[in-house]
Amino acid sequence: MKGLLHKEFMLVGKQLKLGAVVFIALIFLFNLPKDSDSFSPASYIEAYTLMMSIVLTMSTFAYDEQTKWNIYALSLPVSKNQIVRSKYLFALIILGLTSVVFVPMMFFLPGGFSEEQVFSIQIIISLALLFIALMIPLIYRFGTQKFRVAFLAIFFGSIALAFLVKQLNLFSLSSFQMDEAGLNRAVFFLLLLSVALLVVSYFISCRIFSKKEV
Amino acid sequence: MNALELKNVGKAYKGFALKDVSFDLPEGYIMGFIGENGAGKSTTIKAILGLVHSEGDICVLGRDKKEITAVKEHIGVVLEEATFPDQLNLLDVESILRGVYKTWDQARFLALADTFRLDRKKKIKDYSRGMKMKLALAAALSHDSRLLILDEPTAGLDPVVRDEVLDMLLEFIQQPDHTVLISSHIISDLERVCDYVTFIHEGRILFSMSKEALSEEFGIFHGGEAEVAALPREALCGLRRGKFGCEALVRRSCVAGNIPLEPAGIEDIMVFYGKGDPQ
Repeated sequence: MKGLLHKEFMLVGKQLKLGAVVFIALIFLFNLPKDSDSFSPASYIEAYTLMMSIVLTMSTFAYDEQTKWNIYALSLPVSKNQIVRSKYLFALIILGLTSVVFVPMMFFLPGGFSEEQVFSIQIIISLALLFIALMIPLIYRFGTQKFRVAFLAIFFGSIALAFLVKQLNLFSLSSFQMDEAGLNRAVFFLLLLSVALLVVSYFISCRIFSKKEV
Repeated sequence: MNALELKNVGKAYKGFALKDVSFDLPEGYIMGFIGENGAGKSTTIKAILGLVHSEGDICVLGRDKKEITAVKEHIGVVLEEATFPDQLNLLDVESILRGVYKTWDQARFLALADTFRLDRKKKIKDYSRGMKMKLALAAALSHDSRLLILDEPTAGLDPVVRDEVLDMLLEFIQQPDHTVLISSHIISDLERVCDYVTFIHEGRILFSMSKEALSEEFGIFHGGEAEVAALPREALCGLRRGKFGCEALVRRSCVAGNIPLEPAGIEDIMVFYGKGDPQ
């Protein structure tokens, strides 16, 4: 298991270093005088960490497929479940690492450590967990090539849908009123839900991979 | 004790099926696993390692196929189609495997890598096919392997390195509880090192026996069409027609003792069987 995780980090070592450089650059780039109340550099940078954990995890799957690593991995003294677990752990470690590095950075960002930023970070972490929960079983089921196509379709489809909703005035966020305590509960519930879905996703991935032949 | 037991193993694919594959490999011996391309060698090896779901019973180092993960620490594997991630180098591979095998021997791995003249810093993607095979072999021999499962390990190697690899297998087998299953197209390699030969043809095992029993079982008959036609049908296993007569692979036990037969090598047997029905 330790060896499997080590392999993942070695595979994406270069990307991880590049990601860290971009991360630091973003911190400096956003460390500008705050000119708008709606502008939250913290959430932009945290969104970047979300993207990194997703892209890096996807890369490890792509590398595995390219070299047929799973055939070799399954001849090692590791179970199929351990292989699946290493993927989830890797995604969580990347997300955790980037978040842990990022949170202290918030003090240096415009606006400092605000409650609004804490909210947005919680939401972004929840979304990342949800995305990982969705992504890993789909990759195990369909492979990275098909998943990439589906990913792009979902991504651009969501943008198109949001644009359509805005243009047609179908839905307005301002119609939803929630006090601060309610918002707190909603954000916490979202985090709980994403963790629960991640656990379910792990078991689904284990099941898919156990049936899969390499 | 048998290191490997297969009983009625089957696996069906579209257009190909492994049927009733059964053989035993006693502990302490080397078995050559032969057959033409697409005969089912790699599928059988995958079934043994649990990489594909199969029917029938497989027992590896005393464990049923469902419990194979428990004995993988003691199985060294070289697979033709799978390699290490190609953007890593030898030292990266070593550090990964160190974290996987409890019995990993770093010094032995690095010594084997030096013997095989493998560059430690070069990326695996820049290795030749032969070098990748050597790397996999070094890994297979650097932990407490009791059973080596090698799928075409000498493919792509030059004769000198092939010889070194075969010597290594012979050295490995010196331990009484060490066993090797090796599939190869290079029959001369197998003739040199194997104690047993198992021949798979179109998904079925045609025979699995010791090398000595094989030479006692088969012989080659030279003669004209009429002389071959006079041989008992059950004796005839393969036939090759040439300008100056015919060559037939026959079962010695089915022909009269006074019929002159030449010894049949593993390659002869494989070629004759591979050519199809002699009738």
